[in-house]
This record gives sequence, C-alpha cells and structure tokens, in this order.
Amino acid sequence: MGQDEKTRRVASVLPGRPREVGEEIGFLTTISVPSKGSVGLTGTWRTFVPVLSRERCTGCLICWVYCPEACITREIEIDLNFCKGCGICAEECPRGAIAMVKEEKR
Amino acid sequence: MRIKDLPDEELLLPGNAACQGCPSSIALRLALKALGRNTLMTVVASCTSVLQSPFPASALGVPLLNMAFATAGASGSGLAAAVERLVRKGVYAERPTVLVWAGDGGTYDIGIQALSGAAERNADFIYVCYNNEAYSNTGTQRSGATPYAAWTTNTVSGKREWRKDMAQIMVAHGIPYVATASLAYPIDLYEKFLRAKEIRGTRYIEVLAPCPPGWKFPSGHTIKVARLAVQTGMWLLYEHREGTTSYTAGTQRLIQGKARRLPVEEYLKVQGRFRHLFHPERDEGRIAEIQRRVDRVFETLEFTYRMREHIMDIEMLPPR
Amino acid sequence: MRLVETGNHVVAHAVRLARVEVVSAYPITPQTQVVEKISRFIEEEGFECEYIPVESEHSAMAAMIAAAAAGVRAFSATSAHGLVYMYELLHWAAGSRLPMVMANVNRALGPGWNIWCDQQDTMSARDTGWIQIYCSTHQEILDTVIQAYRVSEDPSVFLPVMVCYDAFTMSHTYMQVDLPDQEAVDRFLPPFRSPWRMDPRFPLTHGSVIYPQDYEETRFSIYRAHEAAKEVIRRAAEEYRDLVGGYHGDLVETYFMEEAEHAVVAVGSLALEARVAAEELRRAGHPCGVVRIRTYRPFPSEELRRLLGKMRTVVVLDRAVSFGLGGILASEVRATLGGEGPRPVSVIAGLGGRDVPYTLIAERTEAAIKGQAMEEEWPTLALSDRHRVSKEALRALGEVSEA
Repeated sequence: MGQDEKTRRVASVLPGRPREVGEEIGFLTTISVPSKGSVGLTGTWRTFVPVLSRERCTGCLICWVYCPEACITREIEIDLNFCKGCGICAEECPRGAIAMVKEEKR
Repeated sequence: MRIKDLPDEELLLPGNAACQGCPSSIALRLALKALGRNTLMTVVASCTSVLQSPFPASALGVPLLNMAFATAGASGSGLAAAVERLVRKGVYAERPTVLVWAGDGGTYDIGIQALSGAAERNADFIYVCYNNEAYSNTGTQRSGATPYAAWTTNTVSGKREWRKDMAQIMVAHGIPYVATASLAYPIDLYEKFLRAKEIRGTRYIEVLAPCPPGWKFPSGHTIKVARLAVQTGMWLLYEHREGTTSYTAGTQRLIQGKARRLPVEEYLKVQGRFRHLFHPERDEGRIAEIQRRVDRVFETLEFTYRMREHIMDIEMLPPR
Repeated sequence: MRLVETGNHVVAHAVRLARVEVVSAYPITPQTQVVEKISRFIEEEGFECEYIPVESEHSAMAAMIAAAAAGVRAFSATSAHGLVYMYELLHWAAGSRLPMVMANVNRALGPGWNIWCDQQDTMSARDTGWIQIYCSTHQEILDTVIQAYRVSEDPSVFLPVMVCYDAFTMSHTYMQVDLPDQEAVDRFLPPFRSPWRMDPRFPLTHGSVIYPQDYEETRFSIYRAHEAAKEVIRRAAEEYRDLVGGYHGDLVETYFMEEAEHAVVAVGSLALEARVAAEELRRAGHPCGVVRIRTYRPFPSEELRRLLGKMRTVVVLDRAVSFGLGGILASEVRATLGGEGPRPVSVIAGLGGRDVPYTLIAERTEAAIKGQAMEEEWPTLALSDRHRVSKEALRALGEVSEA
C-alpha cells in the first residue's frame, strides 16, 4: 500500500471525514453459518486412507457410529473429501473390513 | 436399542477443525443425535471452541453461543431463564433443550463455581463435561481432572495428586440427574442423553474423552482407550437419579462378575502420558498404587452387589 | 404517580416499567435494594420476570448475555467490586452486540473496604464498549433506565448500556419521583429488538474463533456504533420528554452556561454540588456555569468543544484517578479541547465518599479564575492521625525508611 493510499484509508474511517474505502463497514459481529467443510476439505490432512472391503462388511454400522467426522454414511460410503484418516473405523471394525493404506500425495 | 436405531441426522458437520480421532467430536455428535435440532447450545473456552471451526463458517447445526471460560453454569442459567420466558410467551411451541458444553478445565477448575451455583438453583439445562483430563486446547497442562501419575506439560514426571471426582460432587448437589459415559459404549451414552432430555432441572453428564495428542496414543485408538478405561475400572459408568446410583454397561458387567476386570496396566501402557511408569524401568510403586485404588472401589461395589438382597434400600439423598 | 423513593428502588420501578424479562444479579452494598425490590415485584406483585439469583457477578453478567442472546430483555445491577469482577464479560457483552442495561452504583474499590461513593469503578470500565450514562437525580435514574433500553436496542447502536449513580448520596437517599404510566412507557419503548438471537430454526454460531483478517472490523463496528449512539441518545431524550415527560439533558446537561466565562465540568451528584457553587460564584460577580457530563461513553467531544472552547477558566472535578496520569475526566477534557480555550484545572476530590462541599468547589474555582490554582489539585486531602499510626507501625517493622 502506497503512502497516499494509506492516508486515504486512514482518513476514510475517521468520523466527520469523507469515507471512501471504509464505507461498506456497517454492523458486524461474529456470526457464523453452519456449513459442511467449515475449515475446507479436511481430507487433505490425511496420511492414511480407509479402504473398505465390501465382501467382509456386514453393515453393522460400528464405523458409522464412531466416526468423529460424521463422514461415513449408513451405506458405508466414506466421504474422502472430509475423512481426516484417523483410523478409528479400521481399528474398531469387528470384521477387519477397513484397512488404512498409506495415501499417495495428491 | 441398537446402533441401527440411532437417528441419521448429523448436527456436527464434517470438515470441521477437530483433530484426527477427536473424542469430543464423537461425544458431541452422539449427544446431538439424542437431543435433536430443538436445542440451544453454549460452549465455553475449550477444544470445542476450536473444533466448531473459525468465523464465518460453523460445524454446528444447532444455535451456538460461545462464552468465556468460567461461565458455563451461568450461561446455561441465562439461556434457561430466557427459554422459560419465551415458552410462557408462546414463542416456542416445544421447549428447546439447553445444552451446556464444557471441558474438564471449564468444569473441574475455572467453572466449578458457576456450575455449583447453577446446580444449587437447579437451573434447567443439560451440562456436559467432556473430560479429556487436561487442558488439551492450550497444549495439555494439568487440570483437576488429570489422573495421578499422568504426564502433562506442567507435570513432566507425572502428576503427584489424585484427580477429584466431579460427578460425585454433582451428586452431592442433589440435582435430578447425574451420569457418566464412555465413547466405547455409544448406546449407553445415547440413552443417558435421551433420559436426561426428559427431565427438568440441572442434569450433569460427564463423558471420558481420550485425547490422542494429549494422552499420546495413535488417533485410531480413541475408542480402544475409552473401552480400556472402563474394562480396567479406571472409569466408572453409572447414573444417579432420585438418590439411587445404578451402574451401567461395562461397569455393571464388571460388578456383576459377568466380565473380568483387566489390570490397570492394560490401560496405562497404551498411553504415552504414562510411559514413564514403564520406561526406562517399571515403576512398580506407582502402578501398584493406582491398582490398589481401583481395587478398593470395586471391593465396595462388588460387596454391595453381593449383599444387595440383605441391604435395605437406603436413599442417600432426598429425592427432588 | 408521585412517589418518595430511594434511588435504588427507583431503578426497580424502571425495570418493571421497561418490561424486563430476565434479571440476573448478585448482592453488593450499596446495590442490594435494587434486586430486593425487583424480587418483591416478582413474588408479590405479579411482575412477569425471571430473576436468577446467581452466585457471583461474573455469573450475573454471563447469564445476562446468554438471556439476551436467547432473545429477551435483560437487566442486572451491581457496584464497585462486582463490576470489576465482571470485567471480562463487560467486554464480551459489548462484543456480542447484544442490547442490555445494567445499573451500577458508583462505589470505591478496596483495599481497604470502602462502600462509599467513588467513580473509579465505572471509569475503569470505560473502554469495554459499554455506553455509560451518569445520573444526578432520582427522577433521572428512572427516566434513564427506560431510555437506556431504547438506546441499547436501536439498530444503529446494539450495545449494552450502563446507568451509573452515586453510592448513598443517591442510592439510599429518598427523593420525590414521578412514575410514568405504563402506556406512555410502552409507546416510547417498543418490544425487545436485538441484531441476532439463538433460534433452532436458524442455527447460527456466535463468537467462535476469529482471525486477524476479520477481528478489527468487528471492533471498528463497535466504534462506529458509539458514534451513532450520540444522535440516538439525543433523540431518545427528546422523544422521552414528548411521550413520557422528563428531560435531563442528553450527552451533557448545562447550568448557567449561556452567559458563562468560567465553567466547572463534573459527573453525577458532584455536578449538583457544583451548581450550588456556581450560583455562589455568580453572586460574587464571577459568571460561572456548570457542564454536567451525562453520557461519558460515547464521550461528548463536540459538545465540550462548543461549550468550553471560549471559556476563560475550566475546572474539571474528578471522583476517580488514572494513576500515573491524573484525573480521568480532566485528562479527557484536556485531550478533547486540544489547544482550544484555557488549560483545564484538574480537581480530584471526594474519593471513597469523602465529602465535597459546594464551598470547596466554589473556593477552588475562584482560585482557578484568579490564576491561583495548581494544574492538579487534591483539595480534600487531609492526612489524619490514623494514617500516622499505621506509618509508625510500618516504621517499627523496618519496611519504611525515615525518608
């Protein structure tokens, strides 16, 4: 930011001075809106990816109930956009139907 | 009830800022499944302040008021009072549940005064302490909930004191519902929230929340560690209503002799925070001391269970 | 209806007239009568309001913020140690942009324990984002509490308001007040409005982690709301006069300022004492007026520049000190005037309830008019024998040298 621009910005927010840059600042407080991916695609945090064996899966939903990220559906579809790769599903699966596999960097 | 019967609706949304394997996320997700959308929630400074994600997006599907650290009980009281007014004015057809969510620091330590005051006033909310046994949000310092001998960043050779028993402190308040829960027993946890929802007044539920980075175990082991806490007797599952305590799930099976209680060592050795009890050499003294404490508790519980038909039903506290 | 009531009880009447829905408060001398009276209204006279008898002031403010967040009109009352115990949450309340009103009885801070009048408590909280209005009569307390809700709930403001009045000289003395009709108050004060509220149908999160790229704007928004509040306070005072009756100035109230060449600036009940002093000085041939600062935050900079810029003498009375700087009000008046007008004389007096007779104000103002006053004065200082006793004791301990 050049000196002129900086001066103009400072001047714009002082009371009783012409407001140019700061004009749009009205009522603001810290209201947040519920959203999936509130910190983005948390799947990028992952080192190991869960891989499901459909043959072994009995659909008992243990992986679904324990998933901290709520990213496994009741049909045992894992949303890899958000799965952080914690490995709880693989650890808890009574049939060993989920394996954690080192993921190639995308 | 079985896992299949749990509701589908997710009120903790994926893609949030929680660590991998976060126990608080699991507890919150299950709690909100039980309480549903008609909930007003307040959170005090804790990991949950962070895991909900930063402004301007939020991972919570219920209205959420973030509040200062020491205020959990008071904030819940304010919400409950407002809800009472709004229900009387007819703004709400169905009374929303007030859910207060705090960590062990916000409950055992800085928030105990506000919580105790609210409980004495029997303020109408469900208070949840998700107990990860340290100040995990600030990098794992000791709290009043940190167990004996556990490493934290300010108890580097292991904590020298024993933790206090917050759930029993809440029982002593004579509130209508006190329960402890474990992530490894999700149906038990879910049903405790359902039962709490049907009661009016102060309800206190404490969930043990094994924290992978704080307790130093792999993120996939959260449930395993939670289960071992119950199986070794290091964490008791019970609910207390109308002067009577009932032990539930894994703890009940131990007391009734339907399951064998594992040595505490099984629980301690899977966590890096107790590593100094085993490396470089085994600290027999401290391990034995922890085991002795658990044994003493179970001797009493098992004795009471065996003698149950010979003991008169003594009400510990007058029902409210 | 005409009543003779204490300042504290008058607050309770105002709370009922404003149809407050949740009160959360903790007892502290000299505020106790406020909540005692409110709880009587609730238990015996059918006032529909939830009263939360919290276990501390920190909790009082937390409960009040939460109640306002859930969408109801909230009130609390405190004083001195109670206020500073709330300090964290005073910031939280303003930052939340939730409308609410709190009465504060101005009292000294310990140690030693002193329950008497002093403005150190609220002036120390001046930077929390709260609007602060100081009263000087019981009628003004009543009218101001009602006006405060109107200001607080104005969409260009949405900030909490603190209504301040002096311990004992106002809180516990009986004065005549006219209680307005409920219908008139209802015309003046519409139902509760807030910028946001917790509603399961629209699940919003308030107050989560906010990064540097967003935080400053929220603070600028509070700063702007204070600017806007000046006009809202003026309008509220006028509309209150028209719809309900009663006028006590807006940001400032002036006495004899039309012809004045010298001015005394003061806050609260001290301003009434200064008015008597000014009358005395006028009789002695000194055209002296009084500027009573009613709204301390937002600070009435324009008014003060207009009123004081042409004065020959300005004396500022302070019942609070910024240690390491001087009289709080005097410093701010000096800063506001800049080089304009005379250098204000700072008079710090009456701390911890010490009496400030009008004769003393007249005497020091006359000295200032004659150029015989010091820049900073503490004219009520009077080291007593009791202090000598404790000095002796310390000397015996060897902790204090002879010097």
